[in-house]
Amino acid sequence: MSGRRSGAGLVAEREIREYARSRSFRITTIILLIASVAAVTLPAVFGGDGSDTTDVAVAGGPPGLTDAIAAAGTGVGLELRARGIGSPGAAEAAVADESVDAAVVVSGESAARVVVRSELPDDLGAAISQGLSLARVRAALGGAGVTPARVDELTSPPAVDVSVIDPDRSPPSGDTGIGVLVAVVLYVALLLAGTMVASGVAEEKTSRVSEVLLASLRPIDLLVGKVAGIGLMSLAQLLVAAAPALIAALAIGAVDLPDATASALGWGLVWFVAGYALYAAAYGALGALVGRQQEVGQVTAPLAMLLLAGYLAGAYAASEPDATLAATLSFLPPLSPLVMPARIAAGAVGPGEIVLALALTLASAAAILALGARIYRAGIVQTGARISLRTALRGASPRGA
Amino acid sequence: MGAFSEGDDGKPPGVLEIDRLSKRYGERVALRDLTLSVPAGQVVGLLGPNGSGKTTAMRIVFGVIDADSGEVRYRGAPIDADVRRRFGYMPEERGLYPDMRVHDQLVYFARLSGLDRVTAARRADALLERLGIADRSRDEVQKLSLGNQQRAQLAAALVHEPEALVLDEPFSGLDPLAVAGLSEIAEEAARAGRLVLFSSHQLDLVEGLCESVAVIDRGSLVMEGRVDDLKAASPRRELRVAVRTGNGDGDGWARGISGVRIVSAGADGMRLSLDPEVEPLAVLDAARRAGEVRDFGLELPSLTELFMDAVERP
Repeated sequence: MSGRRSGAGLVAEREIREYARSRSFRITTIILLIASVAAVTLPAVFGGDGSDTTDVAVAGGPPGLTDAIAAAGTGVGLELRARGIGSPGAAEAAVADESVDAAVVVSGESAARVVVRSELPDDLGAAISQGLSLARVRAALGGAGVTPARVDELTSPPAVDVSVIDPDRSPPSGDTGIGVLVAVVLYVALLLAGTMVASGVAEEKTSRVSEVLLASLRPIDLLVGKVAGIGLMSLAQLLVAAAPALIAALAIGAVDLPDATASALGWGLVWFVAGYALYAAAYGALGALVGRQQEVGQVTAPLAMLLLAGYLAGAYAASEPDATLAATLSFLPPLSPLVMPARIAAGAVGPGEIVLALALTLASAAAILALGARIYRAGIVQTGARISLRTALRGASPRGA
Repeated sequence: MGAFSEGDDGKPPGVLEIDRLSKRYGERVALRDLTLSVPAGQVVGLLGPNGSGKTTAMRIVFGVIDADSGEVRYRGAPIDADVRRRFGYMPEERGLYPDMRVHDQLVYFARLSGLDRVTAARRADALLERLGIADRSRDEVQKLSLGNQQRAQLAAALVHEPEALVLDEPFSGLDPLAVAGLSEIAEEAARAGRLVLFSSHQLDLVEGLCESVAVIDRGSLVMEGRVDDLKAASPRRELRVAVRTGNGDGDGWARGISGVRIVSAGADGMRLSLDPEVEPLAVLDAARRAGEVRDFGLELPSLTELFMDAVERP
């Protein structure tokens, strides 16, 4: 019998072939692809000039006002370009035709008006008022006979040394948004893949194919093969959906990817595999309990709830990656695959912690697979009405002597 | 071409032995010390009413479920996964992926049984040709008619040229033409020295097909052997008699004979049950005295009648 592909291998191969052939799988992949490309490119297409630079037109005011506003903008973290414009009318027109984001109209020494299309962002407002004050101070200092060099000296911010008392409390280097995104994608991907496993098992059971298969396959081979096949297809689907988005983003420079993105995505894939290993066997086992194909959703609802809890915890952990609760949840195997990647993306986790959480998750996955195979074995042969988990476990208990 | 090649490479003929199998589902007893043996080279029917344990026994043979106690042996050794891969099994109802193509499905099953891809594909083509559904091989199973689905199902059980063919209720829902086609394949397999076992709850439908039967009821064997032997051994003796009487007396002549009971009477004659001491020729004499005898013969009991006698149900 050597040289023959193993039973589980053949089962996995069939899953891959049939999913590749199935219309619904192709359509889902294409939709994911389009959605992912759209998510990256649409903001660039519709988001104005596609740059993060803020343009401000300045009408009137003392000389140096434009420089002062630009400098103040840099101070609050804006990439701000300020330029003078001929008249208040021209300033308003520039705002109206969207060639600038805001206009400052100075009508006297202490009277100024800001024109914007809809609302004035806080940081821009702060930059403008700080720029106006600065220009007035400089004008006053100049009027009082202070030399221009001294004026520059006085109005530049002094050099400040930063002393860190508790380095562990330093703000995370990563990004909350990426953390939430990773949690969302993992949640959806695990839910979809798990449901695919449960439906596949239920289909084999309700069509009685399982009876024919179990004549030549061990239940564990059937379960492992199905889980592996669907897992590989789901992973391929994820990669297909994610890769063009990354390429598109890089090619048109639509998004400024935080430095942590690449590692967050890499860890996201690792955690998809670990999470899938944990959830897929459970989905397969529960899928074997159904009496009819339509019961799959109902039977697997507890797992969907668990995944949802994991996603919510992951979203929380993305914003509070250092909180004790978030850290604790990230080591709890059923939640780990969704919480840990969010914390990793937020930059709050060391390699030791990641390895420990992965080890815990994979160990539980092995335990769930063993238990799942027993439930699966008991469930798959009891055709007819839906059976309870307890009955399946009792039916699967090892034979007495 | 035939689906079965001759010869068995010199090994002793395969015998499937089911030895004291018991199985309970909670309170319900499905099998109780079921013992029977199935020789290769003849078509054997596993018969019994619905719920008698036929499917449970077959599932245990194929390892789909475990028995509570007892053993299944093939060629003298306990049956294992390697042996099962050389068996062909057709479960009751369906047993194919509805949305998989017929040809792909056969290749898959054949490869699971240990064939390489090329051989599997060649066998699948030949078998579909033979069963008359070659033109549907690229279609999904769910797009086939019920009869053709049954053919595809049979093809799946045959594609790896199994040593033993086990069919669970293969005739249910088939039209007479399909029954004849399936019977032919079963007989061909048996002639080629294979082991062929099928189950049915329609005892009389399969009477002509199987050489031997094992009849079970409530999980236990009630009767086993060659159909001819079982019939000959039955104490039940029945006569088929049709008499045209001049006086319109009908069946009155038969009532007078002691030890003779009228089982049924109709337009085309009647059936009489004889006690052991009654001589059939004496009945014939009585019939000739009553009128013109148009039909007379000894009727062997049907399988249904044998079954009723064995389980002592009226």
